[in-house]
This record gives sequence, structure tokens and C-alpha cells, in this order.
Amino acid sequence: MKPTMDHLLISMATTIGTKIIPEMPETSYALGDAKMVAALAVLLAQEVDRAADVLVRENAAIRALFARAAEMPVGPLRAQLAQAAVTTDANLRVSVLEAANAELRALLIDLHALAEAREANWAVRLDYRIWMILKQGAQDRMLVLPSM
Amino acid sequence: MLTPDEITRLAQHLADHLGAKHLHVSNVRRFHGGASRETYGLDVEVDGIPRGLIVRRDPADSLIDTERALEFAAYRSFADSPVPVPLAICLVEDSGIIGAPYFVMERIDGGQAESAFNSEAYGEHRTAIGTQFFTHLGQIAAVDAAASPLAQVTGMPDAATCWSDQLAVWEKVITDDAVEPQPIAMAAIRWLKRTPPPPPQRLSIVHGDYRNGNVLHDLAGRLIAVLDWEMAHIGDAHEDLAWALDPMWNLQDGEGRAAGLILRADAIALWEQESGLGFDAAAFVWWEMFATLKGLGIWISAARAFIDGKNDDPILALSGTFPLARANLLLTERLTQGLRALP
Repeated sequence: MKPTMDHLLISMATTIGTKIIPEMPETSYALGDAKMVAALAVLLAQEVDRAADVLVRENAAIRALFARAAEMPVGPLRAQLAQAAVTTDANLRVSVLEAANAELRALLIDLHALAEAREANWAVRLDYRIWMILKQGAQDRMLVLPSM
Repeated sequence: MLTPDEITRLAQHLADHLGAKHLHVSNVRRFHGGASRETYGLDVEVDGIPRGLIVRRDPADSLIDTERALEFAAYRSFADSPVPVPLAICLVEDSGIIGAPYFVMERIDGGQAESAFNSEAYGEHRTAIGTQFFTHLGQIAAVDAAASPLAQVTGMPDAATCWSDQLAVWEKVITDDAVEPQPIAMAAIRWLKRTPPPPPQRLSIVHGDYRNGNVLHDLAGRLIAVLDWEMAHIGDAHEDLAWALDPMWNLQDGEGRAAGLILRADAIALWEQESGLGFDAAAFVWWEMFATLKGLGIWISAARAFIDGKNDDPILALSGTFPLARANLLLTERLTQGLRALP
């Protein structure tokens, strides 16, 4: 049994907020820094446990979308989409997942622009599916900021 | 922090500028939260008369890259106006005095700036502050932009393209500074280009960062200063209104009040009354989207400065977390309004 990452981070924020900040002069520039660091610890506590999960799910969703899109009349993007659709995450380190996510999202931008520029039903459906992935990703990454 | 040698040179320059025989500087302290410049307060005795001054120095890096001459001119544009601003005293573009260009202005004492993320801000005075907040915003838009000192620095934009001028600025920031692909921002930029707003009813001075956190109140219900004009420019006054109403700045108000202060309809009515402009709901939809995109650009740029090691201020690190996530979610919600799956 050991303290979890989020527990440790909240504990750090609480110590800064309740024990360190009250001892600092109100005119100290470092007081503002201390408040920011405490807020950062609270935000990191929310992020640390979920980060890999968010990325794994989004990467999988984008790859699945690419596999379907590669069968649509997407012209020059077809080969790239087919290739990206079969990539995998090398491991579950957040840095590795983020690098894969960045490659996928870069291609997603191109696909989205292409879908928006076409009026056919397949393009409208594709645009919708892209937005659902982006919306889910934005919701999953949302944080709650403490009042400060 | 300013070094003793820098303070000595600053005092000498101030004495020369003010024509003082004796000038003594004391109690120099840095204020937290200067997003674009380092902000110092100092007490000065000028030939025996005490004055409070503010020095705004360009930092190594910042949330917002702006020119100090522009901000200085913006302050001067509202001297002798109903908009409360400190007196702009001198602009120094010589880096030899305190290591970077700076400008000096009068310090307004007895005021407090509230964090835009403080849900308890203003307490019982929230409505009174809200009324003044939107009154002054309208007054900013009412000033003759073409005749202002700001126009001498920036020139007057073409009314037909003032929207695309601003969009180009923030598209470049996002493109240059993002460390990872930004599919939501790119979609927003494409939407903004596809659906341009109508030209403004007239060109106005736009504060550029008019929000909670950039005004001072006296803790007794009076708004006593509008600060932080570093992003001022001339354009469509709807831009300022949209920025002020962006949910990022609403004191985490769950009731949907304008800037977390007063009813949205009341805020818009005050703005119309003071500015003499009509609220254009269709144009406003565009400027709301733009405001959130601009915010996203600021957060991306700030986070980049932190990542690159140009500035280790934790406020820049924070920018890449909640604000970035909040802006992306807001853009997504707006861009997917009315979106339906085809059968």
C-alpha cells in the first residue's frame, strides 16, 4: 500500500495552500508563484491517473476512423490513412502515446479539411465522425480549476 | 527583479524626464501576474513630493508578444476620458537603462485586481462592478479611434479586413508555437475564414484583453482603473465584447452571467448605450468564436515559452493545462452546435 500519485499531488497542494502560503508576506512575488504551483498540483492530480487511458482510447478511435476513411474517395490521403490505421502504440508510456497521438492528429487535420471541402454524404458523415472524436477528446482532457 | 544599479539609472532618467532636482526611489517591488511585461511598483519622492509609479519592463519572454509603444499609446488615448486609466509618463526604448525597454506610468493606489478564476471576486459589489465594467467597455468603443494616439502607432485598418487581420495574427501564433497538432483550432480557423463577419459599424479602439483580472476595484464597489492594454488595436468593438464575455473570464460563474458579473442582456444594453453601437448578434457569433481561438493562441504560446525554457514562470506552465483544455472544449461545443449525423 502506498499513496497514489493524485493523493500525493493533492497533499502537496494542500501543504502549499495551508502551511506555506499563510507564512508568506502578501507583497512577496513568490506568493503568486506559490499559488500557481499549488493550482498546478491540483490539475496534475486530475491528469496523472487518466492520461494514458485518454490517449489509448483516442488513438484507437482515430485509427478505426482512418481505416474506414481509407475506403472512401479521399484521393491522395488514402495511402497515408491506410498506413496510419494499422500503426500501434509501442508501449503505454505517456510520452510514447502522445507522440503517436500527435502523428494521428496531424493526419486527422488533413482528413477533416478534406471532408469539409466535399458535399457528398460520405464526407458529411466523415466530418461528423471526426467531430465526435474531437469532442470526446476535448471532454476527456477537461480539468477542474480550483478557485484562485 | 530590478538590480540596485538599474534602480539608480532609472531614478536618474526619471529625474531628467520630470525635470526634478532631487528624486529618490524606494520600496521597489515586483507585482505578480504581469503576463506580457514585468510590472514593478515604486515609491518616488520628486523634489520632496511623494508619487507612486509603475514601471513596465519587457521580459525575456511573455504570454503575449507586444510592443511597448503600442501599450503606451493606448494609455495616452484614454487620458481625460471617462475610462479610468493611469497617467502614462514616459516611454523608454533604450535597453541601456534597466536592461530592456520600459515605460512608466502613475500608480493607482487602493485598488485590487481580481483573478478571473476567483469565484468569490467582488463579493457584494459584483453587480456594481459589472455595471461599471460594461459601461467602460462601451466608452472605450466610443472614443474617436482615428484621432487617438494609438492610431498614430498602429495606423487605421481597413474596416473590411479588420477581422482577417486579427485572425491572421492568431493563426500565426498557433501555427508557430503549437508543440503538437491542434485539430480543433485548425477547424475553428477554417470556420472563421468560411464565415467572415460583416464590417464593423465603425472602427473603434479595441482593448484586446478586457476582462476580470485587468481592472482594479477599490473594494467598495468602484472600478478605478482599466489596465493591461498591451494587445490594444483598432478594429471591431464586438471583438472586445466577445472577449469580455468569454466563459474563461467569468469568475467560474455557473449562472451564465456576463463576465460572471451581471445579466448578459444588461451588459449588452450598457455597452450599446455607451458605445453608440448596435449589437449585431450574427457578427457576435463570429467574434465569440474568434475570442476563444485567440485565448487558445495565448495559452499555446505561453506553454511553448515554458517548454522551451525561455520563461519558467509557473503561470506559463499553468496556461498549457486548464485554459488550453477549456478553450478546446468550448470551441468544440460551438463548432458542433447543430451538427447531426446523417442516417
